Amino acid sequence: MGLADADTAENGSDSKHIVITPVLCAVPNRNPGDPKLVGPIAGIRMEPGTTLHSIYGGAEAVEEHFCNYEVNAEYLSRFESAGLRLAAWGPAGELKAFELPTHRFFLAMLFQPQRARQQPHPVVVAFVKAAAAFAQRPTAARANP
Amino acid sequence: MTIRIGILGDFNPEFPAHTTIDPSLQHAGRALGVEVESQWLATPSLVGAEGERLMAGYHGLWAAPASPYKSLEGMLHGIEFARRRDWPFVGT
Repeated sequence: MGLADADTAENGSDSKHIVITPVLCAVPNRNPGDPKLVGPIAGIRMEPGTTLHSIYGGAEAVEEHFCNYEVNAEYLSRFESAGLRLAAWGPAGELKAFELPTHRFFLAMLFQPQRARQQPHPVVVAFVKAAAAFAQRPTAARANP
Repeated sequence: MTIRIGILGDFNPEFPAHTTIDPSLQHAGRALGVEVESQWLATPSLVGAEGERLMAGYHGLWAAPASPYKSLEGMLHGIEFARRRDWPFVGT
């Protein structure tokens, strides 16, 4: 994004560009000590045309969360201009995931597929599949991509 | 061929989001019919050229949660390595 001082609110710095901020819509009735987003959250929508959308077959998802921070919505257009594809949205329209469309497989998300009760999880399957395909490429290409 | 996954992060056996990563990889491997092996790569080990050599030995990199990391520099370098070198990457 070209913001040299971009930071997360968690670091408590005096940066003018806090691109990661505390979660706005916390889960109600949490246990003491729980983060703001905890447990399964329903109504996660994948953006059409993204890798995530095809991984989920276009379906809405319920995903496990455990976090206190999310992307500052004021910076969404700057993230997009920098080449990030905004890929999933939460029930309040908050960003849940992004990906790099120019990359063979680069997904980042606020939720935690590893914690889903139903395994294998389609995101992990897609990741291992990408790693397996990558493992098959010629070693020379690995050393000098 | 065994698929080697490097997990970027500082493993804590008390974090379910950590202890569930390898089992989820094993489930996925079984579904795909491939053997998967994972290794935790602590964030201080990801710094510099040595960190790049370490990460280059894996077929995919998974950035694990739980900030603050022991080395934010190492974690950012790991993510940057995956981005610049086009390594399969997932961050959860």
